[in-house]
Amino acid sequence: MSFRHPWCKAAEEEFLIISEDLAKRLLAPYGLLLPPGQVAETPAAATAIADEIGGSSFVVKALIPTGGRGKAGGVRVCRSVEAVAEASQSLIGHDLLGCLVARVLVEKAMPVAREIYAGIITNLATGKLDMVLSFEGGVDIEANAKSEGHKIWQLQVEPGDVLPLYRVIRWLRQAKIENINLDSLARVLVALYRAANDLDAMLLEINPLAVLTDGSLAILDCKLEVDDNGLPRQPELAEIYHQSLSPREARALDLGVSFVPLEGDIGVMTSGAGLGMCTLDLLKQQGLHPANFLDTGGGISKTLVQGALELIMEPPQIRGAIINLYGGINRMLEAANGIVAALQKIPGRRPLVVKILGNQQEEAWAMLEKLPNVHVIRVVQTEAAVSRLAELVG
Amino acid sequence: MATYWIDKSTRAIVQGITGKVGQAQTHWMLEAGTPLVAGVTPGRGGQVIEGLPVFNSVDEAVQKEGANASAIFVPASAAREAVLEAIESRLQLIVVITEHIPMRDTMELKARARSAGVTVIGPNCPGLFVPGVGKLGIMPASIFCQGTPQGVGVVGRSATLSYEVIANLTEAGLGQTAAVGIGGDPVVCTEFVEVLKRFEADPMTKGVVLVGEIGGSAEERATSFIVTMHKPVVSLIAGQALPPGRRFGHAGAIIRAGGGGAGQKIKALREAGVTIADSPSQIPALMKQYMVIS
Repeated sequence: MSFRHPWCKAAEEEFLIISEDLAKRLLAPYGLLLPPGQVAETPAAATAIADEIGGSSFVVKALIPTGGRGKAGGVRVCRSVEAVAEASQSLIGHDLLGCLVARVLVEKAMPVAREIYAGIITNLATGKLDMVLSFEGGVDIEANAKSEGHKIWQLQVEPGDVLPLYRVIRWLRQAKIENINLDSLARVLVALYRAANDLDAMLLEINPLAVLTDGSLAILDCKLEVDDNGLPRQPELAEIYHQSLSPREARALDLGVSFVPLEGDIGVMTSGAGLGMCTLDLLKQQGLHPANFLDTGGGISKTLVQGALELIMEPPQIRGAIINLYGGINRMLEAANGIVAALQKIPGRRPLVVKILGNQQEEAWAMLEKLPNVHVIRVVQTEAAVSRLAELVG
Repeated sequence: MATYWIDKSTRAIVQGITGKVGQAQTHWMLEAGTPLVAGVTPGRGGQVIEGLPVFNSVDEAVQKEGANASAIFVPASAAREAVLEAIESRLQLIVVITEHIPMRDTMELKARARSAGVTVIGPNCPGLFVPGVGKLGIMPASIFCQGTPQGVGVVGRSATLSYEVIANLTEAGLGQTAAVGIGGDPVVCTEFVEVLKRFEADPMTKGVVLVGEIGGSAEERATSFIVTMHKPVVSLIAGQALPPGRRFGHAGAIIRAGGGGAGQKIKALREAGVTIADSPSQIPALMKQYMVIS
């Protein structure tokens, strides 16, 4: 699938990676030159696409949501339709950089004179957008950027700004570009900026942006990362995102909780991302291994707590769980009712340590203390709950 | 100007007061003594909620009630509009509780607030609580220690982890002068430094707790001011045990200079003279060790 699931709500790495084929489809309405091509799931389909494209020069690219693909052999230039079949055969169904290649993109190979790099990058430190350009593009952009003498050109754009063409042209003049039509390049960059804005992109990288032998500029590869908070206004992406989720992830999304499966055997439910991360830290300090991260968010209800508890207790390796909630105005009796309802459905006698604070906490504690295998912690310190769980699971 | 943005002369409004959350939180803000004067929900003017008049626009609340601050509880899809309206109505302080606002909108609001000279706190934050004055936001009053003139200032990215820290301080007999949640999003409109400056300038604040977490570089950016501070700073960084995230590819990683890990934040904070706590419950003892009560 085209998306990598966010692993942690509060971390910086929460953005959705859009696969190259979809990203290119999304860029098409912006008047950019894209190589003709289609996606194939079998070598036979890849051959048919090459036949349809025509000519004798093609590129077969593994569709995997990670960088470094070119260096790892995931991009093959093919000089015949037969070579397309061979390349597809060797990529589809095989592992590349830890990802299973399920699909390849078959494109017409373009006559490239020169490769450059262009990016629209959300700079989280400044809260502004950086338009970035390097005239030493290609797979080694990262190495080039670190070495001396390879200038990276950067234009800072105020968020919400309508970037006028003249400003980009004025900026490009400073770069003293040779052999590239400055006006065409500026138009491509403005189109990319508009696309990045419209698509809620955190990152839109074109590497390479190819200068073709006839001087035109083509989008050869494209990396697009989208802000998941933008999905409500990106219906197409939202639908694909939902299709890409595992059943457990989809359940979490329906419940409205932020859920990340981890490797361990202790179930975790918390209200708030920071408290959740801190709870995981404290579990690790006690030698326990969390099986998940689950943040209920602000709206704690019976249904949400019940669904969340069923979700975290589901894996057979779970030895016990901790529930750590700060209710605020939420009625904690609701949370307690959710726990009671979930425990009626959950098999086994695994210990559950519950620390809940907030409105109606005393009533909630009294209700939960009657349940077998439930251990209520009445103090403020999460450490107390974690230590108790450590004793109980041994 | 108020030490922590609000005082008893503040005239605050609630945007989104007619929503379920807005209405409930208005009740608790009033309960905490907050000087609220009105609510705003476009199209719902004329209602009365929790004894407050509801207006159709922020301008109307300014004209009729002299509003100068706002707490925003509208849904994410309406947040850009609500904050821009508040900025253009020249409110001095806007606290955005709403979560899931697209980053693009937050960045635009941050730029607009900056050029208008308006303080926007948040988004995706619990707001601020000033004991003796009230609160704009959702922090539970029950965790605070009321009535101690001197105390600790708390600033954090996470709401509930900050609550746990505050509850620990209160239990240990350490009062608070103010608590500010700057928000959990990668881009927030008010950064740590702007809050730390107020703690440093307030003679009643004797120590500061900074509640940080993995991701971004907000904590690192705060260190350039922390080194100049005369008050003890104790910090907790959540997420130390979490698996490392995927690295940002190519130029993204170059421009953003990588980072976001707990180790790097802790190192930067320690070098700036900050005491690092391994858990929330260690914080009161560490604070007592370093802070000077006059």
